[in-house]
Amino acid sequence: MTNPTTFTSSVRCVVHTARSQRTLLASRPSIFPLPTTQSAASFSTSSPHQKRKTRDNNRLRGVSPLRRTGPREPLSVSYDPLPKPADYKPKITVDKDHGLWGFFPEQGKLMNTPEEDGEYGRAWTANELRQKSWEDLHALWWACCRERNRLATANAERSRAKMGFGEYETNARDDVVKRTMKAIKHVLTERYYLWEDAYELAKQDPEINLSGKGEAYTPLYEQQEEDFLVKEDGDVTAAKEASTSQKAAADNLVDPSTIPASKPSEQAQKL
Amino acid sequence: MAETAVGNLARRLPNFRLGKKKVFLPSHVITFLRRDNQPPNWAHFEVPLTFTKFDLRDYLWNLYGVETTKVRSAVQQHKVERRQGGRGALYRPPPTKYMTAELTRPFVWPEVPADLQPWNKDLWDAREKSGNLASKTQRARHEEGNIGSPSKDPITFDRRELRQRAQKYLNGQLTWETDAKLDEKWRTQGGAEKK
Repeated sequence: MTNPTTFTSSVRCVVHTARSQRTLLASRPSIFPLPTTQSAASFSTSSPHQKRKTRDNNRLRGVSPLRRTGPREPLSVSYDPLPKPADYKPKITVDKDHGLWGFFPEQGKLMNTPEEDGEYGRAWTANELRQKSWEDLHALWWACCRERNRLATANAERSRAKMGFGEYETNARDDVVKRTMKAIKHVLTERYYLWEDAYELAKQDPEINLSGKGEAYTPLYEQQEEDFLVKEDGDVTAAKEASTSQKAAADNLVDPSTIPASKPSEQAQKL
Repeated sequence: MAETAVGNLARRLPNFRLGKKKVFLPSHVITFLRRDNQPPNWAHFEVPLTFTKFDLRDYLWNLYGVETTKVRSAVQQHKVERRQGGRGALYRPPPTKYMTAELTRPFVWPEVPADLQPWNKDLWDAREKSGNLASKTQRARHEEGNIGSPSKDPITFDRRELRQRAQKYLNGQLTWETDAKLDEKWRTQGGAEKK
């Protein structure tokens, strides 16, 4: 049951759109030369035969990723050659003071030749390292770490680039570095054991204060002096003697490091 | 040397917060690896399995003064191997850990030198070639189960000559003769008598 009024309105609508499309096409600058007598058709980019006819209108009939059939419709493929990326590699300038040069023998040099790597001395012995301070040993350890990293890097790069011989020299050098590191640990372990023994001795030493408060080391003769002063506090007659002895103590109160080696031995004899 | 380096770096601070645990005597070995196809601000390392990303970041800063913005890590498993040169029990070697650090300053590896004479490259190549040939027959024998046969080897000059000569005997172009004096019994029992 179509209402005549609605029918006419829909027809008018169709006519109106067709007219408006015509005016739109005419107003646009034409890319392709269109015949002027052509009437406007419904705009579609797909060719009429593009739609595949299958028995059940299933768009994906026969398309199987397992059988690698690919899509069943023709795809819009252009014959234009694809643009190729430019053969351009930016040139990077590496800083001369870059830290990663530490993995190489020197700045800009990939690795030492086997001859250069074979020129090395001997490892540090424990006896030599016993004379060194902790700061020296620590610095030497970190130098050894850097050297081992450098040698490992050279080994990896030589085998990667198939450069030839040289692994023997590098590994022999690495062994020497490892021996030095072992000697450092040996010396530090010795020092630790010595410190432990010294601590046990200090516990029984009246001159040494391990509580962490006040002077750690007070020589015994100073302690005796203080005790004497406390005892003679109220005694007026002994004050004069005390003052004289105080003067003597002041003479003794020089910097302990400047006391010659003979004096502590005398103190020890008194004890 | 390291002491002065540490002293200089103490004034400068990195863009990240350094770890608080003090390791005085680290015994790790890290290997800097070449990766030419990666961006120049990436640095690739082989590190001990116990290393974490923070470890590498702090290690590079403390030991080399290299500042990083990011670290990626990957652990590579290895194939199962046999002990005792391929005859013993199966075992899997411990995996290898790799880390890639993103640097604040780019770094490009120096080129491999063109003249490899100091590394005795010629002798190395010859040695590799003979070793490869030996290992190939060995592999064929043990892994693929094929016992290497001389007939499968590339044909040498001697073998070709021998084959052609044998073909001539078969065709009758040459007759087999020997100057050796045979015993009488061979003469009676062999083909010489029949002729």
